[in-house]
Amino acid sequence: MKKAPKIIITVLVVLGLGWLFFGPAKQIGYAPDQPFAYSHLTHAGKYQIDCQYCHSTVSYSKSAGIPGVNVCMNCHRAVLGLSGTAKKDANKRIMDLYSNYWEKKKAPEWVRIHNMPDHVRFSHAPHIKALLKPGQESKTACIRCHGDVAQMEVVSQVESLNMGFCLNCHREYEKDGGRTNCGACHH
Amino acid sequence: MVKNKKLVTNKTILNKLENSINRKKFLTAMGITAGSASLNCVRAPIEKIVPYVVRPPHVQPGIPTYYASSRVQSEGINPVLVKTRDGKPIKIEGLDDHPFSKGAVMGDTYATIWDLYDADRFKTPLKKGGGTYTAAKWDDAITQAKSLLTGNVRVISRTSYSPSESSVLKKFLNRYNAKHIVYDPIGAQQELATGNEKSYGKGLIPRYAFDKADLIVSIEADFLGTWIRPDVFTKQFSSRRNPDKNMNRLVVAESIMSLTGANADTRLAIAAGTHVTFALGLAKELLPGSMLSGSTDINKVVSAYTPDVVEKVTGVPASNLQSLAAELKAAKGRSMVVGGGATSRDSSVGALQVVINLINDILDNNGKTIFTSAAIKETNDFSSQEELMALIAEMKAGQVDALVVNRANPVYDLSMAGFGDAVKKVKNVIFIGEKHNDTSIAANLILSSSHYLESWSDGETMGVYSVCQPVIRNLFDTKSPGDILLALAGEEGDFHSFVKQAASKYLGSTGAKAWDKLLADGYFVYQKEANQGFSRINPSSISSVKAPSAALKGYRLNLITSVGIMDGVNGNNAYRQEMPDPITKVTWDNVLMVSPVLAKEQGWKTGDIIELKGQNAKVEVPLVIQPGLRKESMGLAMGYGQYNMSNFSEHLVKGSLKKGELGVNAGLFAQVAATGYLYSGISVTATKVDKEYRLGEAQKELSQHNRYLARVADLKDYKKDPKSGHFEHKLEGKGMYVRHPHTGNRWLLNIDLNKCTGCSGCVVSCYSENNIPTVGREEIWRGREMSWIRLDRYYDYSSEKEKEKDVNMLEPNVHFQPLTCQHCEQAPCENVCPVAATQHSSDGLNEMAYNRCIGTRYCANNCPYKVRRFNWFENWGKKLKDPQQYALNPDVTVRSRGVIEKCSFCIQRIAEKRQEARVENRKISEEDLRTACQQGCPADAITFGDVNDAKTKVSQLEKDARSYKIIQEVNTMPMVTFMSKVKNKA
Repeated sequence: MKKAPKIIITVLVVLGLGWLFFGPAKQIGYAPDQPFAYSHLTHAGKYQIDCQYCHSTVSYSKSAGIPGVNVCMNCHRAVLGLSGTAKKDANKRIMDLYSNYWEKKKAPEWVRIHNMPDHVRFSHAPHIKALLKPGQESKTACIRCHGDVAQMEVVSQVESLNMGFCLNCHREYEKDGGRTNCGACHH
Repeated sequence: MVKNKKLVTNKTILNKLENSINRKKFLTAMGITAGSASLNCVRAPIEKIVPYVVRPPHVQPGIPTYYASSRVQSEGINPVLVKTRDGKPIKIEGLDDHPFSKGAVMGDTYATIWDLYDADRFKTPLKKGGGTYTAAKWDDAITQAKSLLTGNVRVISRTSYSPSESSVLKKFLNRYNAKHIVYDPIGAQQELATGNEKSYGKGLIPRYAFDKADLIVSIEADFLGTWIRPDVFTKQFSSRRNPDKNMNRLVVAESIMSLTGANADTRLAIAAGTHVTFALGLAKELLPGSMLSGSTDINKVVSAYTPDVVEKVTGVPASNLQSLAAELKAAKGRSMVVGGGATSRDSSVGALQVVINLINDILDNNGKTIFTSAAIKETNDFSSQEELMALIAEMKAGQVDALVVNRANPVYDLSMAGFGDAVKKVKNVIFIGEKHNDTSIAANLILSSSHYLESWSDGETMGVYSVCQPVIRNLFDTKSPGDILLALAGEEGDFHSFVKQAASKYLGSTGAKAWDKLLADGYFVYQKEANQGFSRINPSSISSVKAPSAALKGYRLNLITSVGIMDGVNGNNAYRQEMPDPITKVTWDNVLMVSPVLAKEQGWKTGDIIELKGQNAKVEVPLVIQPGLRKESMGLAMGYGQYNMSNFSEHLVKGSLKKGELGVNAGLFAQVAATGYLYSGISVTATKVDKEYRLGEAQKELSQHNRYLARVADLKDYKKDPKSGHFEHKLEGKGMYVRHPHTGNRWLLNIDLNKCTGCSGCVVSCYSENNIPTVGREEIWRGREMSWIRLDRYYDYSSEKEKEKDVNMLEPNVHFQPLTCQHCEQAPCENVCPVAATQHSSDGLNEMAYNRCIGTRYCANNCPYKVRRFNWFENWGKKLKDPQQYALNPDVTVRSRGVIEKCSFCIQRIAEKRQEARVENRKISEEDLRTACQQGCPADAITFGDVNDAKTKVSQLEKDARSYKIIQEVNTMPMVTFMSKVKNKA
């Protein structure tokens, strides 16, 4: 009689620890509040703006590049506000962009979502080179790690981005320059 | 001993433990601990990304931007290429296409990146009130400065190579009717300029072409380490160190072992303070049969210095002097004789230079190896000793109302002349500078100046106009030195437009196109090099030269300059201090260099403390036994012992380094004369003091004990047999591991020991590129230095017979050998790592995954080359004081405590270029890639590249007869080849 609860507790503890160590990566689903309610769903989804229009350095730099406020203004100089009550929310955001950022010459402090650990050296350019086939939309390449951002109102992390995730792909693309040396990412 | 009954014994503790904890409880506790520990790391720390509001098109996140600029300083101009990432300079590189430097930069300039981010810099202008400094606004500071500048105004500074700064200073001097005093802290430039003025009536510093001379004779001039333009001279000299083609020959006569002496084909050790005697003896041997042989002025002076007298005074055998003279005669017009440096500073300025000029004139070298066209320095702007002494007397008498100190430290540099006492009598002192030093603390007003990477300036030397442009906005509330002087002079406008205007005179155009090209190139050639030399010397110039004609008795001290610290003006920099001195291998200290024979006689050993007494000075200083010295000669480096130097990034290094604890002030021993300072042959007494001291020596061993690590051959033997000097090790067994396939690239580093001068530029360049922590004297004493590339230095002999002949170690072969990770094909370190943190890559690199390393140090123990470093230092990244973190290279992981690290062949550079080549659909080529040490080498001794490609330079060098790999007998198959040194002995 006394043994049963003890066994149950032990099993629960083991399962709990197992979950902690071997459970799904904690980063998946990470969608922090951002200072500015920018919608990828509207821009990339509804209006089908190519990823590289804003993330313009992705094909030749380590960093994809977060667009400066002036990139927003390229369109929003003309796209001032939309009529109709349904667009009220969108208008508010555009007004926020004008008054709180563009006019004050301030950039939003975005919270980084896809954050690699400090001992990992990641460069976007060679990945785009390997994944983006000529003539295709940028997102066909981006989707592999970032998920279908065009369908996200609020961006969240889709893949674990742990070492196993990276290596699976690196092995798959070994002939295209995918490297499995430690030094490919760790130096 | 009284027994305490209540004393808890081990047994009682054990009993208690047995009662309180059983196995189950222990396991439960362990489980809870493990569980809660893993709960802590649920989410990575939150990071913010802040984009530009409007991103400048040339600033691309993740891609470095390079700016051509120049470091303009009182010792000359260093053309540099500044690498910036996200607007922050992170690395200084050489400017390869610059006409005279050709990319040559030495450790001193690489270290300037840490001068910029020095946390000890002035953050604002400072006003003194009631003994303490308070921050001031610029407008107030300038107004106050103007009000202080009344009456008798004096300006003291070092010399300047900047035409714009000089002309602004002129405006300032005119406005306040001030007098300008220029002094030379080391004396090398002043000796040269003044000597030439005496001989030729032209006080210029000529252009030297070491690459055009077949035979170079240097008397005390350390032109590869510290003399005039060591970076440029190293480049020129090394370009002729090819044993297969036209190799030059270097003969050095010096008292204290210097970098140049260490690289000499023949080194003649002379007694301290007798260099003029040697020069006169050489002149006497050369004189007969020359154009000047009839001159009575010359004959009168030199006749006394017969080879026998020279032998008695200097210790150099008469036969050696005669054979050197014969060699020089044979190389007329193809040779070069240089002399100078701190040691040559004489009580009569320019004494040595006058004799050197005589020799070069006899040998017809002017216009062939030494040129007056496109000279290093056109005018002699140094104040004479009389003027300097008059200033100090004036100050002492309270006649100076205001003294402006323009980026100098005269209280320290002129400590022997009593400048420190004199400055106290001056009513108002205005200090312009970047950080505190011994002079700034006497100032009423400190005007904080910007670093050269934050300022506009310009410079002219060797017929080239160079521009210095800001690559980052002022980090603190500072102004560029030019702007400060402009404001003080009450001029409108800023220094930028001033430089622009000055540049237009050189460019011959005021157009934007020419200016933009100047900024892009960093230089403009305004005067072509021509084969124009000095005319004949004035024979009467030599009549005032006096030199000892009898042996100097007792201990004789020479003041020298060290490659790392020089005159000490930039001493507040951990890179410069941590770089081991190439000769003594000591860090964070200056040491008394003592000959082996004297040390043996007195029972002294390296690290003992010696009390050194001179006329007006007494210091306690650690000693180092230094081969290559005559018995009673001693050397002590200047630039140390600055009491009020800033606190030295104290937080960076372990072990206390309090104010005034960094070495001793050697300058105090200098003797002041009416016409100059005597820096050599100073009579001193030395006694051992019974004190212990922890000397930060990076290398304690003098010899390589016949292990054939650094190999040397004589040129004659090499010509007969290119494998001369080599020793083929027999392999012990075949090895049991399978060879790695290397299908793509395979990297190899080649180091030509014949070109390497040991200047340690590679060491500092590597520190800067790879975020290597500096650890301080105490840790180095413990053997915990972190340098990834170390420069081994050995004193050896080619045979046992020679060794026995030279028991006093006067003429050893000096070897330098830069040693990095050898990236062994069959690496002993890889096999012993229990967690596979170090692995072999497909392109032949021995890789280190820091995040895997658990710090067992098995690899370091198993490495036959001892190049792996264990990070004992706790989290260096967090120890950096704002803004030092900006100096870190963002492409290299900042290692934390408990991790092994080592040379990676600059894997971040390989990765960057490989990825770039891949994106551009091409193969990575030789031109793409240079490691930090390769680029940091002013001698071009290091080559790096793909050995799988037969066309690359490195694969051709690998097959050269001189190439070898070290410690091959254990079958490690290193991927670093060395090329043996070849000495051109007569």
